Amino acid sequence: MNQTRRAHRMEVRALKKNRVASMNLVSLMDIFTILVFFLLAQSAAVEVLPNAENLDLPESLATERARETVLVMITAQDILVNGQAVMPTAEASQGSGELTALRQALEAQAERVVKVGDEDESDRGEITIMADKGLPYSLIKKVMLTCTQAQYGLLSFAVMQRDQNTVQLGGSSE
Amino acid sequence: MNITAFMNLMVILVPFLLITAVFSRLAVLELDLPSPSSEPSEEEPKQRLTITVRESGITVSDRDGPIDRFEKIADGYNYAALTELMVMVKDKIPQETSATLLLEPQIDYDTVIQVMDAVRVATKEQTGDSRDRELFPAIALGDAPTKSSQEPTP
Repeated sequence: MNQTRRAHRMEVRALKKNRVASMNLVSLMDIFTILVFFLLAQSAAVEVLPNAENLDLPESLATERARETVLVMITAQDILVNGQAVMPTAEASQGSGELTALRQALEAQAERVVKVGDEDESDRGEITIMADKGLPYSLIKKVMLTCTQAQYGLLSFAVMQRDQNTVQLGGSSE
Repeated sequence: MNITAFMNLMVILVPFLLITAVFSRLAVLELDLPSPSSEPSEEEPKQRLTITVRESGITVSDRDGPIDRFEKIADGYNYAALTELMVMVKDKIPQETSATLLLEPQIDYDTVIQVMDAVRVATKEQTGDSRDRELFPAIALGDAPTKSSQEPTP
C-alpha cells in the first residue's frame, strides 16, 4: 500500500515536471544575437586586406586602417598583384633594377581602375605592399621602385597591429 | 512562441562567423616618397634627419653630421635607445616631421618596420606621458651609402 502510494506520488510529480518542462531560452538567444551582430560588424570592418596564411607580416604600432588599394603581396615564393601571381620571388631578387613582369601587371591594374580626376596623370593611386618579414630590403626596394615607375604615387606597408603592452615587454627589455 | 527557426539560424550563423572572423588586426604604414616626376637622383634638401641602418648598427645624423650611433646588441638593434634619442631630437626641432631612413640591402623587412616604428612614434610607456607622442611620421626610404664613403663615426 505504502509502496504504491509513493509510486503514485512520484508519477504525479513526474507528470507535473513534464508539463512545465519548456526550456528557458531567453538568455541564450540574447547571447547569440549579440554575438552575431558583433561578428558581423567585425567581419565587415576587416574585409579590406586578405588574411594571408603563408605570409608573416611584421608587427607595428601603426593604427591607420587599410584602404581599398591595389595590393602587392610578396611572399617567400611569389609576387602577387591583387591575388594573382606575377613572378617568382627568387627571380625578382636576382635581377637588378625594375621588375618588368610586375610593372606590366601594375599597368594592367591601372587600366582597369576608372580615373576620376584626369588632370593629374602622373599619379595612378595607392599601393599597399604586404611583404614577409624575412625578406631583404633590396627586394622590397625593387618592388617599391617598380611601383613608383608604374606611376603609383603613394605606397604603404601592411603590418600586423600589436598592442602596446607587448611592446613594453618585448621591446624595451635589455 | 515558436523560435526553432530563429535558433537554427543562430546556431548556423555563429560558428560560421566565428570561423571566418579575423582576430589579428591589420594596419598600414604610409611612406613619404618623392613624387615619381622628380627623380631621386636630385640632391635632397640636407636638413633632413637621417637614420642609417647597417648590419653593425644604427647611425643617426642631421645636417651637422652624425649625432649618435647605436651598436647592435645581443638580441638585435636597440630600438628603445633609438626612440629615446628621437625624443631628444624632437624636443630640439619640434616643427620637423620628416626623416629619412637609409638601409643596407641585406637588412630584412622586419627591421625596416621596427626602425620606422621607433622613429615614428614614442609610446606612452617610453615617454611617461599620458599618451603616445608622435615624432617623425613622414619617413622616406633610401639606400645607405657604401662603407667606403661612410661618414666618420662620432
